[in-house]
Amino acid sequence: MSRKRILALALVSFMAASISMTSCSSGDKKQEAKSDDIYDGLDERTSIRLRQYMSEGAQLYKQNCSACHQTEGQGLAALIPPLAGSDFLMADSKKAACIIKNGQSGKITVNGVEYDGVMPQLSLKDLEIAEILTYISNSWGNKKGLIDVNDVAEFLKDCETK
Amino acid sequence: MKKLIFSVMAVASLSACTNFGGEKKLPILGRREVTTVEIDGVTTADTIYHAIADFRFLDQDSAWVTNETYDGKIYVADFFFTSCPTICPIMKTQMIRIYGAFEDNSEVGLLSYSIDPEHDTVAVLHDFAERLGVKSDKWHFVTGDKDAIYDLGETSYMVVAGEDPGAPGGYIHSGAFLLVDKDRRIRGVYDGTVEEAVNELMEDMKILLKEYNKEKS
Repeated sequence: MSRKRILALALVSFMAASISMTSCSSGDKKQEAKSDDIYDGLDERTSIRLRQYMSEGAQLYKQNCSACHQTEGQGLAALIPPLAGSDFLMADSKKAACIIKNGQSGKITVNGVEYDGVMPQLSLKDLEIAEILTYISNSWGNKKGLIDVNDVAEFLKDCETK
Repeated sequence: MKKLIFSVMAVASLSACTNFGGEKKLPILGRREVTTVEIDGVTTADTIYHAIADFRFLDQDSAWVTNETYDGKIYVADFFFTSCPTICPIMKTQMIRIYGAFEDNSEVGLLSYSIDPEHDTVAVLHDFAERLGVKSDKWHFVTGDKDAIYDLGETSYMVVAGEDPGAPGGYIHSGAFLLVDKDRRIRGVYDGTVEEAVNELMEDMKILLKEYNKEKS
């Protein structure tokens, strides 16, 4: 390997490292870079709608959810369940929509850990719930596709808890 | 006794005035009073720094926590409540970082005061600490008389805490982390909801520990 090539390689790896470092320091950037594949194979219309939902959902998440579930959806120890990689969230979008609308109390098990906290009721419109649900179901490695406002309106018709 | 108090204060003021070769020195916060002390016929001016007043509250193991609990330790204090839906989870996420960084350092402690002590009983705090996965000898969560906690918060730690029916969860409170030295003095106030501010706090903790370790040698 020539000296020039080694230098170039070092430069490239340095750049890669610094890029990955900067992407880690900003939640938004990391989010975008990681979740590109959620748009794979979608028709243009769905892709555009999903982007809109994700963008609005990110804002709403920040305002309503991130204090407890944290900026990367990681939750807090055994006090607040994670959303990132959550089997509970990914298994049942209807249940998740109802919880976003009505809050949650009592024991639930997420990824094998039992949680017993209280999530407050949030006063959100159906569209906002759909945007949040789409955002959390397609961020931090989660992938579920668009959950649109009509789906959510249907989900919310018969929630177990009101 | 008077002599003892004087000598203790003298040591404190001496250490406060020492400059460690241009390194960053943490300020001593709060109101200070200058008094004159007469010892053996000599009148000297001395500064009395703001210090955390005596307190006694129960922790998650039903053990008393007082200033003496933190003898020989620097500590980080905050005010929270377990059912808080706003900034507390962020503060606890940040406090866990501090816990992790100083877990093996016996000169460092953490202290979280509940501002909703009626709900946050010893049992509730015990469950909370357990779920957080932290050890009680390192990190005390305390509860007790509500007025006493609010009073201590306002007069000793200089933070705002109070009931507010309009606020989410029913309480308003400061998100501040207070750094207290081994002499009960506040050496820094940091925003416990901001990661960068907590990074600065952890750096300042190292500086403060160094200050004491230099004194010893």
